[in-house]
Amino acid sequence: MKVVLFILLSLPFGFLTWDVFFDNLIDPIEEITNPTGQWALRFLLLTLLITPLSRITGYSLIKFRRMTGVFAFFYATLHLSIFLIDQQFNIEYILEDIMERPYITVGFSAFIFLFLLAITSNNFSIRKLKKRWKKLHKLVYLITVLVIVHFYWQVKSWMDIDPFIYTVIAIILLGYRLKPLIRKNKI
Amino acid sequence: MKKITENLITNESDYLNRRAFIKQTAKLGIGLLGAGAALPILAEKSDQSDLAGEILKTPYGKNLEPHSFKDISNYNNFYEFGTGKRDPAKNAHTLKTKPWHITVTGECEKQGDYDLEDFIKPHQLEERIYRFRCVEAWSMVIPWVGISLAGVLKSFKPNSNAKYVVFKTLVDKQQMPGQRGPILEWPYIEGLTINEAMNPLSFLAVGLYGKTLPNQNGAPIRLVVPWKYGFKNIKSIVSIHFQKEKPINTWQIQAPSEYGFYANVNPNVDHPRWTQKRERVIGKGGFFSPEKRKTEIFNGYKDEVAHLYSQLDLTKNF
Repeated sequence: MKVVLFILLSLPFGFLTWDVFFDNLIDPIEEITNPTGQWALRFLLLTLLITPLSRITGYSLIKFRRMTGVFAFFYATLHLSIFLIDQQFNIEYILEDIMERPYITVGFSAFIFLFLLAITSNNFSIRKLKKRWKKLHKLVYLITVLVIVHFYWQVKSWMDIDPFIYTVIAIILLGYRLKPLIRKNKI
Repeated sequence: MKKITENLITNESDYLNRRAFIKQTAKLGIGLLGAGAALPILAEKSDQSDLAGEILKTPYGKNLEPHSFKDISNYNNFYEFGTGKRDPAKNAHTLKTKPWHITVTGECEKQGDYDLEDFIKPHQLEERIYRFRCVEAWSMVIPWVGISLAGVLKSFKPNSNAKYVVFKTLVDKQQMPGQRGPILEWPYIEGLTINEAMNPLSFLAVGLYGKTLPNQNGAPIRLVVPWKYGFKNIKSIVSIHFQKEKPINTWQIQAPSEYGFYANVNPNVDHPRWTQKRERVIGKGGFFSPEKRKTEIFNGYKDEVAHLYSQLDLTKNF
């Protein structure tokens, strides 16, 4: 099962590599930046879906969560790499963009947090960090919010449907976590 | 300037070097092997028709190397056909460019409804190779064919109240599926001051690479003002209106803090969300080293247009 999932999650990367290799792209920068960013977000949302889906179906999917999460990081890394290529790896340009363009600041912070989660996505870290591991990995909620903000902040038209759909899904998935908290507070 | 026949018009193949040819051939071979994979359908120049009338070759851009027809006709911002860069090439086939009418209204003597052919016929077709700089910080070089805007506008005899010229794109949800959603306010509107419009650089393009414009590039007639950001270059024009008041253009309605009326290419005034100092030259350079160039003030057309703005603070009037 895990092998099948691995192949499925790799497919977008495969298609993009195909396009790059066969020169199907006119502007590789834009035509890779956008899809890799969206795939990172999709897999992030998929990762958040695993707990509720397990509870609803009564079938534990938790064993797949690490893979979907790490794949989200993988596509986020590609997304960031294309940005670095576009900046010609010029530190001055990169820092200027990270400091002065709020949507890049937000996206970059999301990446840093996601990086922390990715490097601790192994049994060794779980054992070592004990209770702190769970706390650390709650950052995923903050990352989701940052990614949505990052997405919305760079769209050209506020009426664009794509970021809206992702936002609705993110609100549902984050809301699912908030529900017990709200209930507790009422009591 | 000399009159030339069609076979002297800038030929795209002149710009394809041997390496590109080999790459294409290799791609075809491997493409056939991997027949299962979906290669995108790209627009072909041969799909376009010939233009009526001789095309005058001009010195504009004689030192520039135009982008390929493939790049120019497959990478477009034309939200009437979708917001993705590839959407217009995919969707614009539904646009019917024949017959086509342009209405001329407002502060001028010769108002009327003109058939496109009659609209173009009195004017000399010219080829002009212009830089094209998108507000999104990418650029191309495009060999347009068209007519001088000033000549066209003068023929309608604008009066002294004609301070601005306003252009509108067609609205038709059947032909332009992107208009079914409220992505932008339709119709797309753009405007120029009368002095900008009368500048010799201002151009109405009806062709590309010596043939008619592909639909995704704004067929059958579009504005080209090369010292301004791409969005000023309104496509598929159906209305020209002379007026006294400054119009509000579509992107200004959309985000007034980001897009102004003038939209002159200016490396010193950043877009609030990204820098305008540099631009990515589409399709040039390697995968890991995309070609960038420093953006020039007025996109390199300073000598021709800077005098229009001597009284303006370009930081405020962006």
